[in-house]
Amino acid sequence: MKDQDENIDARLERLARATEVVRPRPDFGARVARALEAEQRGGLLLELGRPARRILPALALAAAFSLVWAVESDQAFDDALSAYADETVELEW
Amino acid sequence: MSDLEGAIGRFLKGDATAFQEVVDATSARLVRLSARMLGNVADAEDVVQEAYVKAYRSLLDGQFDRRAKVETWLYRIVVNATIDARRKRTRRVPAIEVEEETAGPAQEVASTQEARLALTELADWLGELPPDQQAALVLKEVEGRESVEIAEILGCSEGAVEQRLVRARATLRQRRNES
Repeated sequence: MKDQDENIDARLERLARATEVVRPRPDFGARVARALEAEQRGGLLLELGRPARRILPALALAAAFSLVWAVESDQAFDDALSAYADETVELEW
Repeated sequence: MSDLEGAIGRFLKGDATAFQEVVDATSARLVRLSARMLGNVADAEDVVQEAYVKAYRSLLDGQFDRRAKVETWLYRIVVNATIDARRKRTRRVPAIEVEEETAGPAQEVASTQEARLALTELADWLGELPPDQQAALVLKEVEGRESVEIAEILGCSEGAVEQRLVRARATLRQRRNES
């Protein structure tokens, strides 16, 4: 078992030595810099989007009120129009 | 305080270029570690690039509490990313790299070829181990790290590191006897 262990150790040592020269390719630093810039831009967009997301519920509520108001106004206008067409308009003196 | 800790400190105070100093100081070691686990430099570069982006994001989000050393923290991110990549990936054929490198001086090409073969041999040999055992063995016997540091990198106790090393050796011995 000890011999086998030594074999494993010797092989690991040889492979460690042989791979000591491994380096990233020369453009790797620039490549990481570009990835970080992209990350920075993405982060900035996220930051800008954050306040908009915060007021989104208020905007949705305002849109719902506007819709209700528009429907009611439309109904009132239709009523007025049909009353005029039937000549049942009461004139105010 | 080491250069790395200093650079991270400056980055957190708003010096955006300081992170690139960390990249320049650590990329060779981190790519080598990942390549030793994956068997080639191209996959290792992808993993380490993603690891840097993750580290950058963690710093900006305030997730790095600076209790661990910067280098240990980066090693941890890279080891975890490499284990994930090992689970997902299919092996790449490095034909293009060979063509590019044959343009260099003869001796350099020879050592690069030898290194590439050694990376493949290492990854094939240890790739059959469970990822946590492979990571422990590479960090200890190939990278020459201390058990206490390996424990910090792998997020386990020193005892667990020793246990993984013993199991890894037992598995390698068993495979050897079987073949």
